Amino acid sequence: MAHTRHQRVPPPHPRKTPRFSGALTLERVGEIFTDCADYATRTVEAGGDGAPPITLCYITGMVKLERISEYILRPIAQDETLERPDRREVYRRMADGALYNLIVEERQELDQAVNDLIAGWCLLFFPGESGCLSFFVATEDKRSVSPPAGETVLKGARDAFVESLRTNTSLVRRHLKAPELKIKEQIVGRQSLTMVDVVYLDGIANPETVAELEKRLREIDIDAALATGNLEEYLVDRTATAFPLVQYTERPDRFCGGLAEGRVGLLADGLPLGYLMPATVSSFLRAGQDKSSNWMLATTLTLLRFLCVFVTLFLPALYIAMATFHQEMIPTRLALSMIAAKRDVPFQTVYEVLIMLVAFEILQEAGLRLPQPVGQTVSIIGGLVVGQAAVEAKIVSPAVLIAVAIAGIAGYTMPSQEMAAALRLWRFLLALLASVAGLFGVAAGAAVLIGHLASIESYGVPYLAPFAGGMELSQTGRAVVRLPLPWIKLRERMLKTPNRRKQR
Amino acid sequence: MKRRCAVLALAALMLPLSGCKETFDFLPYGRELEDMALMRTMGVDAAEEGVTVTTSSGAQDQGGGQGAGKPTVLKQTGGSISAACLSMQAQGASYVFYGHVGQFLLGEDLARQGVDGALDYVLRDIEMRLETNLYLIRGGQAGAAIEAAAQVNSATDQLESLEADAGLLADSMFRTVEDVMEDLEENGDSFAPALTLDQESGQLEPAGYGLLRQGALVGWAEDEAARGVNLLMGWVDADVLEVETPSVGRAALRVVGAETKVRPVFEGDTLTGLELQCQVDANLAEGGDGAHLEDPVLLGELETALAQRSHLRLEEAVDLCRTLDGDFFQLETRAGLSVPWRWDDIRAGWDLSALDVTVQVEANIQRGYNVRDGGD
Repeated sequence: MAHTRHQRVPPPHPRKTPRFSGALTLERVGEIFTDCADYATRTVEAGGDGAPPITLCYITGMVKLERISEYILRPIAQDETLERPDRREVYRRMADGALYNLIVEERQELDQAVNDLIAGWCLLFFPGESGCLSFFVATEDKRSVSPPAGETVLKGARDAFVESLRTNTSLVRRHLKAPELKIKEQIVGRQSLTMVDVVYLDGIANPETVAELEKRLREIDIDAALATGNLEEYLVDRTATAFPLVQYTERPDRFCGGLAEGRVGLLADGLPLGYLMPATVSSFLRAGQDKSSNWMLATTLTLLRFLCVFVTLFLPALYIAMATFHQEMIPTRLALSMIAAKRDVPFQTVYEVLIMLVAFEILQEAGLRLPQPVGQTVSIIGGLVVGQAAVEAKIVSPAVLIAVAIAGIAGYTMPSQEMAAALRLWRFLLALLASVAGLFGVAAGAAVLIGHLASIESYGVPYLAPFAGGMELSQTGRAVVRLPLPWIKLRERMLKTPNRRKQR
Repeated sequence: MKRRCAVLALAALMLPLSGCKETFDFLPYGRELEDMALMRTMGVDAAEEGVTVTTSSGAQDQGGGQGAGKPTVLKQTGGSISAACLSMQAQGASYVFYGHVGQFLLGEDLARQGVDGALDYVLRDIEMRLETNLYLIRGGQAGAAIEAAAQVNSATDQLESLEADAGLLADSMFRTVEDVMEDLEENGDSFAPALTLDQESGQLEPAGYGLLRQGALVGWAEDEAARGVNLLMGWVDADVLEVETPSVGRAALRVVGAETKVRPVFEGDTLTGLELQCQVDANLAEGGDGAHLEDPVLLGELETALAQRSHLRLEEAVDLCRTLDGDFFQLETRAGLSVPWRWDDIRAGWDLSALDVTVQVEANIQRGYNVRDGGD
């Protein structure tokens, strides 16, 4: 019997472009904003006695009322030249600057005018005119610039991005005053209409990366770009990976540092952070503090972070492999100590480790979700009290607790939380493989991990660059060794910048 | 395609639920650490049926703050070491694990028959390590020594103490199975540290070296000869010599370094002799109030005394090689390495009993630790 497969066809998107068609009239605008409590209108007498009033409409909360009063209403009420009976003439004078407001546009399309209203403009309708005047009077209420919450700064600028896109671009402009700093804007999100800016230094950033980023932004067709994931997952080359493929920072100085290196930045309205593309493994292991620290200290800390990558990834897996399959690898005295400590523990090593890893994740998640003081209490109770009690109750052995705790703490040295999260996921996988096949499993898992990382690219740059991707040894060394800054004459080759030289 | 791959991956993941253990035979077999008895000392003796193997775990921590318990000692006889070890697995619930054996003891009877078989077991067994220290039990059996030591503490603890104190014991240094096997592979002769069992105290004590010719024990180097071996090998971490001098009488010298070079002597292309050039360094450890190293007469007397004693020791070690007809200390190889371009001549003319061996010792007294002398 023939089998008929009914293929599901997604319904067409309900939104059409332009969203609103038809003539731009006050009635039509009022119709669109029916049942919108924040939509307001104000009629103003202008043009002398008997002349029909002009109407101002705006959305409360989106506009600064003082601006409307001072820059629009006051001139209309006081400027005698606007008292003429010729309404066409008055309209022209207002469009040409009779009103004090800095930005004024003449709108003829309904869609455009509606979008203006939502963006904090106010519309001035003249009876008998086919269009309207649109004045930018948006409120500038926003969170003030404050120190970054997620990136500790010891020695450096303490400003951080906020939710306002224009504030963020101004922060970038203050750090990079070069006219070559370009900011290209696109609107993303059918419902959110989020402004997203592509930021780069012309002549330094790779034009192909800029073009590719713009192309990907154009292709985003979502309802709302409200969360970071709404953009990130559309901008990366590959979503089937736990590893972050774009780097984000809250710090404008770090963002600008990335732009000066030749990366391309992205700022989105409503997100207090900036993205940098392309991103590689080495960029996630570099802390913003590195350039502020002594180069020897920074190099040592970078090497330590690389070591911590291995520790956080492999320590639980190696513990399982050695305690279950390769006991000869354990130094004799340590093996005897482990045997004595584990004598009354009822669980197999692999379950001990997995229980502790899961408990560690639960504690971390609980600590993050709760308010900070409560979160700290949970961490203390969970980490110290429960851990100690579990050891004393012979539920887990001290060696397992130590191994898992060291692996967890080593993960916290990652400057990127997303990289740390990816390593945590792979840590579980490697621990499972170790429980199945010992060191063979760990080696196989490591091979798969390297293969996976080698298969990823970020905007045309191999993710493992400069450790892979045909880079020279000197480039590889720069990823690990932070040379004194006067010695670093060239920008990184992997970024394919048109201008590699960064200093004499 | 993706769906098929997903189904295949899911099926592979479900394989463990099939109950077919054979499916996963390619995977290593895991054992929990706490279910193991870690054996740390193994003794092998000759027996009528083949060999008797005795193993000891050493004193083990009982856990829970109960302190150390008595060592587990297992003993089995079998046609081979492997068979005896395998039959030990049936002696308890725990898996007997030999991966941590750090001391390998051979009884004198077995050593006289030949050590090759025992060392070959260490080489081939997947758990044993070539870095295991090798000891020969002089005048007794390895099993008896392990059992007697277990009555006091354990052979493991005693031997580990010996190893830790090797720098403080001048008459016996430790050698690994790998060292001895390398020597045997080179020319069939080697030497290994010897132990004796004090029956009353149950203590294992160093007793010089056992000399192996063609893989079998042929004699012992003890006392001055053993110290001669140490000088030959440069193992003089803490040798103290008492010497008599005309100036200050009895003085104690602490030997702090020795290096012996072996050089062949040729007449034409014929090897006619060997020169052992030994440089030995010592410090004046005791010498009375009048002993000042600034006194050239005293210094000369001390250096002469040191050179004489070292000379005597080296000659005794070399005499053993001549008497027992074995190149236990790899003199041929060392002579060859000093002039590698004449290696073939050395090989062709090597007959230690016919060679004229001369020993030259250069003694240096470096310092006297005399604070009142204002230094040194």
